[in-house]
Amino acid sequence: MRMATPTGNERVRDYPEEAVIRIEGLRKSYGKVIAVDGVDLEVRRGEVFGILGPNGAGKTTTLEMIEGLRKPDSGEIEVAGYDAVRETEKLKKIVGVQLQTTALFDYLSIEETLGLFADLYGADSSPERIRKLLEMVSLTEKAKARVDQLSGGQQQRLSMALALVNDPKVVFLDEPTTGLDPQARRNMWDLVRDIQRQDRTVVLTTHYMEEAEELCDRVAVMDHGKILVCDTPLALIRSLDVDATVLVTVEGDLDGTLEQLPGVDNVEREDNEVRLRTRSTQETITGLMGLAAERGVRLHNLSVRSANLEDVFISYTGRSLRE
Amino acid sequence: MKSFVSMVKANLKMQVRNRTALFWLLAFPAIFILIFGFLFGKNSDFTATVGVINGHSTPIAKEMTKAMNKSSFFHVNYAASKKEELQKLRQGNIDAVLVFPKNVSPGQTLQVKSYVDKSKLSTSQAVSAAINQVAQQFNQGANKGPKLVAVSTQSVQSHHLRYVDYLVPGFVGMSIMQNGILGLSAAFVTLRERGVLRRIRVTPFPLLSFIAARIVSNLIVVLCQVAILLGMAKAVFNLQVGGNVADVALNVAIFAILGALAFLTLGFFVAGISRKVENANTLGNLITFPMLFLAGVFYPLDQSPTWLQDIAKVLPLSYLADGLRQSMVYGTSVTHLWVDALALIITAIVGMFLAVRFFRWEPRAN
Repeated sequence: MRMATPTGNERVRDYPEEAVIRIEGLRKSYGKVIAVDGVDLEVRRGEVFGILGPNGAGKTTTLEMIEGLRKPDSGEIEVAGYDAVRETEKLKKIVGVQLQTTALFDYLSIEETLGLFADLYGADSSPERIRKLLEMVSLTEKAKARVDQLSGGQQQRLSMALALVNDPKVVFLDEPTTGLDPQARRNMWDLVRDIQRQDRTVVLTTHYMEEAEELCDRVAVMDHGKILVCDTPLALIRSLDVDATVLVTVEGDLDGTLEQLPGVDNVEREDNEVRLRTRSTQETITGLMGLAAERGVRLHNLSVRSANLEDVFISYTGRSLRE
Repeated sequence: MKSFVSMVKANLKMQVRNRTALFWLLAFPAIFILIFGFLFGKNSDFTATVGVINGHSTPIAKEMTKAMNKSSFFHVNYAASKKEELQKLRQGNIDAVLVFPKNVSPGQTLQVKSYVDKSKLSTSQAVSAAINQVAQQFNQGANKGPKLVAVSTQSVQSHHLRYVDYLVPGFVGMSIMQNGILGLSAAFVTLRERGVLRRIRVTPFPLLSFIAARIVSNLIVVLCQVAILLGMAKAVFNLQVGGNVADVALNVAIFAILGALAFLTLGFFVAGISRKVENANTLGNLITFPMLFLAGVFYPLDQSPTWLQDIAKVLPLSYLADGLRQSMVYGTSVTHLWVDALALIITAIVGMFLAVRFFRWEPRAN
């Protein structure tokens, strides 16, 4: 399926470093559980900003406080000049929200749903406007279908259209691709890029590092209610002392010698599957080949995965994102 | 305002398209009315309550009332005041009044007067026939002597409730209650648990407006429902309309709205304290089910024990059923039914208080 591309607005990203969202000292706990533990963030105009972290890291709670759905225990949030804690009513008019749950009214059609929400926002609910929104999320053919007749991906796209119904300046997407198949996920990514091209700022949460890497101009890595680090995906990866991970199946005994290979920082073993994190891929592989030839050990399935946000996460938390 | 109207319209569309809701709204009460109407419309298995004046005055009077008492058809009330008994007859509390003369000269025929309510056609005929039958037993005694008893029947005209007339407004009230409590709470809990309420919350549309829109659309639905059900009962059973149609419709509409408000607020309360739809259904049934049987929907409570009548007095459905019945069948105006109206208003206020107190927009945290 191809996503419709909006006309015009294709431009070089030279947005000024103007902050659209400013968050300081944000805290929220539920009873004894601290969900958000002192978050400071700045989101710039026109960027796609990602909050990356495992389930339960506090991403959704953070997002919901910015959207005005939850009151923070303490901290300041400013969105497009509005105080998101005290001016929630004004804020709601200028932001678009996609929630994690995409359930809507069962007995309304897609176009009726969009029309209704446009009216609830006091936005343009004309048939032309609704048609444009449907086109944008490739649901034109489903205009008359009921919400409960849509597939997961289509429901996700409908809720994306709902997030745009009031022509918002800032769009919040809470895990927009969770539960989608790879194709639907790609479509969603295209859609997010389209939204960015329309001069909107996008803030999204995800626990898929490839999504953050692919889509986000900047990423905040979050865990246990705290922002661990925040930068462009490339800068985050470069900041690691890791170049790549070498994966290989070893038939034989190389124990104790792998750590000595040039460039290797860390060795993980699972039966005869070996993962080497390396600062210098070339030197490590050359060394590994030499060692194998010397010991008469056979290597299979050699592959190199360049460092990614997963490694960033591991290096900050000591565990994998998917655990 | 546009957003409010839009929300109300959307609610109505959803209501009309929801087949299950429509079933409970229309088909279920309609089936109930039809079944009960046809089953009991003829007053078939019926006990006639007869007020007897001077029942102990003469030996024959004694014998005759004894005979009536023995028959399963009659329930005999010995009474003193003819005036009072006739009043009861007019109000439909008893089915006939039998007046024996204070005394009778030996050898003379005992002249008994029987009063029945002609507006209650089938009942009055059955009662007259049965009384005559009892009297005949004395006249056809073994000795075939002179006529001992003569019964003359007179009729009393009253607005009278047939069982169908009694039943239908009660069922309509029952249906308003069920849709208010069960229908609303299930729908609302579903919206909340599935996160639709949150989706509304992130729009600038005030949540109170959302609730108000829900109430307004429900009231519109209730008015249509009441009109359809009463219209059907009128067509099938010739339901009595006690006055000119416009006045009756207005009074019925007022009670329908008051009743709907009372039970909708209770529905919001049930939604507030229920975690899942199943809980809401259980709790809703717990509240509505006893009312079905204790609020005098199926049968008048006049003859029931006092404690039962006392219970009925605290059940809002009693007042809704009574208000609908009185305004529909007798054409009584709301101003004369202020007790019923007040009871429903108080229920609505209490319900509102409970609804607000226990209201939740968010699913309960896991």
